[in-house]
Amino acid sequence: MLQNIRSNIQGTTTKIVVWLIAISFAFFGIESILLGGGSSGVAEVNGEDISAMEVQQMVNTQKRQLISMLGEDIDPAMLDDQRLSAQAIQSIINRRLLMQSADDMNLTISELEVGRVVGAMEQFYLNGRFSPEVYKSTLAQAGFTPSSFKQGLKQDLLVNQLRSGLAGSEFATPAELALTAEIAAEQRDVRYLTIPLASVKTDIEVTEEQIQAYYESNQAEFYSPESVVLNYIELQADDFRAPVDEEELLSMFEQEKNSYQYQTENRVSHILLTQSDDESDQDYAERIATLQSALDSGQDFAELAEQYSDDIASASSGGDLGFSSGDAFPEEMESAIAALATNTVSSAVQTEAGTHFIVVTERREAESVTLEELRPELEQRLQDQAAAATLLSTVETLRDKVFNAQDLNGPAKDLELEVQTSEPLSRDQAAGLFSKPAVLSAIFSEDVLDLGHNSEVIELSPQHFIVLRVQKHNQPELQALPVVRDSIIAAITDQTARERVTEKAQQALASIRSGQSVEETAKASGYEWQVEIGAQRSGSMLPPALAQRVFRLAAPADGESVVDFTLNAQGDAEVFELSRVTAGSYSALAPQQQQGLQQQIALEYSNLLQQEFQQKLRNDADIVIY
Amino acid sequence: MESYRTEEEQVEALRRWWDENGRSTIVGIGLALLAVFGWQGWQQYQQQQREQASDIYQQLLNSASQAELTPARQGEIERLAGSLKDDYSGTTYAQFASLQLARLAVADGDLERAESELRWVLSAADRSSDIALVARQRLARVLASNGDTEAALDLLKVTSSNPYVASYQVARGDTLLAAGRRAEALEAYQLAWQLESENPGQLNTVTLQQKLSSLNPVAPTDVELSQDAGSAIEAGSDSELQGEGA
Repeated sequence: MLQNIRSNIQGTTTKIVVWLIAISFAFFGIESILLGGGSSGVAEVNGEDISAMEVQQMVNTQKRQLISMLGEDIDPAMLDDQRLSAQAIQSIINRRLLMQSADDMNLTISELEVGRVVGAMEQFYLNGRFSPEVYKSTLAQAGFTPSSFKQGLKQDLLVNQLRSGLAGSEFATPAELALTAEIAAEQRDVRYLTIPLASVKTDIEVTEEQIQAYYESNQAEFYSPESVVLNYIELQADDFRAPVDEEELLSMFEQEKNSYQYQTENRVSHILLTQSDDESDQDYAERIATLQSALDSGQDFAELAEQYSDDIASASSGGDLGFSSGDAFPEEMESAIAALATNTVSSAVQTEAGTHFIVVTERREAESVTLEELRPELEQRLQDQAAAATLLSTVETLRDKVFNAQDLNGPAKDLELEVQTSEPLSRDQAAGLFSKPAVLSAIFSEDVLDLGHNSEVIELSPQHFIVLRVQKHNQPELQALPVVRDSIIAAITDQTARERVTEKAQQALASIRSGQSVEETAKASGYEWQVEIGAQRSGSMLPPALAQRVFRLAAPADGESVVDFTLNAQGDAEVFELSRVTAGSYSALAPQQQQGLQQQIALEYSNLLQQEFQQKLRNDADIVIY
Repeated sequence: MESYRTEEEQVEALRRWWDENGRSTIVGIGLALLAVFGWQGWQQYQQQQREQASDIYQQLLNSASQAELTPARQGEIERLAGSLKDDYSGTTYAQFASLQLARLAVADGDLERAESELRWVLSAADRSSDIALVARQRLARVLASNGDTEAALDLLKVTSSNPYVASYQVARGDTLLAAGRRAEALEAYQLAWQLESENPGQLNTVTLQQKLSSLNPVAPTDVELSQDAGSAIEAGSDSELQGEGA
């Protein structure tokens, strides 16, 4: 055969073919021919594939986390697969880049280390020790195999090493601490007076011309919000509760009463004789007879048990076996027990274990329950069952009917249901039945809102369904002047009041700048005034708007002061004199504050560093998302 | 291709070839095997070294992450880091350990020690590597803290290829501010702030913002002069002066 091949190779064509095969293997490797060329991943990072499965796993994990964080009422849009998987791909890419970078730096984690970490995880402990069974079953529940779990753990450790080495070794130098403390712990002495907005609001008159002008120049504000009025049918299991049929109740009671009844329980003692391997039948029979006669003569059962019983466990406690409600012992024993009066010795009972003599030492008689005791509970259950069944069948019929019907009235009439009408609802409805995400998205869907169809029957819970259609869609429209008149007057009044407050603040400002003190100015006009010595940037000594303004100003020269004012969120003016600025000092801070500042500076640097590192990896990487 | 008439001739040809080339073939194969196994052994040895270094570094991290740094723990960290720098000096872990030592030295106020650790990292790491770039910025900050502003600023010069521009600018700002060069410091902080706000991630910027607002104050409100507040002229001009002083 070799000869055959050899002679065939002589042909030129064959030679060319053989060379072609050889070259293709040499260049492309065997796997590209065996496994096929194209990539099956959803993205590629520096030539490494990210598989669709990996992304899906990440999406599933995120979904579970979102649901457990926000509950079942979560907006379905947040669980949108497309959105989540876009995020998932990004975070997988970032992680992959970190892994590749760790690899470039020759970072590695030994199997030994992974083992140590796994061994220290208390989730896998049983009775204070690592348990391989718990380990495997916990992993299986979470959808991991030991090797995939270890792989993930290894990656976590690697990323952690990388992070700790670069960003985690960040620090705060003494100079940085000093200069940051100078600014962060700076203290400013402030005297201020407050001019309340309300004080200038009293006698503001608004003219018709002003109202008209405001209305015309601010029309965009006066459009009514878009709203819809709905017709809807709401179905709740409670609406289908019906009186319970007495016969049904009785038959349920018959079925159920046993499980409510207390069982008869017997406390049992026994003496067991077992024939040992080297004991002849005769000897055994003799032993039984001796015991029998001892029992017959009325000797104490407990003593005899201790003396004769081959059941070592019970012998020392007078043969006591504890309680049985009829299923703890072999059948032969149980039937003997049932027939025994208390404190009489049974005749010999044979079981697989040997020969027993039995005494019932205590009997708790069964107590039966009455129908009246159980009635409320059974009624409730029967009603629940019946209502749930009726609800479901009604929902099924309703589904078919509303799908074909022009409106809700027909189906409602057929099923003897009631069509209700809602209040006008907006897209951002915050409370009530119509604020549920599933309902809102149905209302404002193209099908229901624009095409005017009935919605589907929406399940809010297994006991609660709703179907709806839009009765009226109110587009936003310009409201007439009389409707919005009041709000215009309020707006103009507010605007005027703010102008007046500003004017008064400027007067006060001028008076203080001219040399009067804050106190004098405040007293002259009847304003409240206050003094804060040593107010801090991040403290709460000053009202927030005032603090912000005070610390935005440059520090005055020694012995001088700066006077300024600001309007707070309520529109009150706060006129202040900033008289003294003391730079903060690191050494004067409490130890806790010192530590806080150290951490803050190191954290800011390390945050920034990590971010820039990640960004650099991304910029340098060759990333393709399919 | 030669062709042979009989089996004997083929065998004879083979034998002749073997007599001529047998020795060199065996030596060649031997050398090839040696190279392959040697390479594998070397790889294995290196992997082993890395794993050992990784284990030591992991222990160091465990000690360093404890809330309270007792002298005993400090000693343990020193020992582990020393072993990494001596026995595994070629690994990244030695450089990481040195960075950790620098961190602890700064926290201790021992700037000389921090400087020597950072210089060691710079000598060990590849010039353009992330570790070197990070170490350079930190060395500059340590020098600045010692009062050597010029040397620090020199180290903090960035080339366009440096991916850590924002970090370098914050450090420059701190250095300049500590040296009292407020206008230049503001410029550096502003550049850093601009880069950071372009960043997609969320960054912690509390003190950066405080420094920015402190270096770049606003002027107090100017009051329009009205008849009854004529004396405000003085105050008004006063405030302008303060505005300019900023």
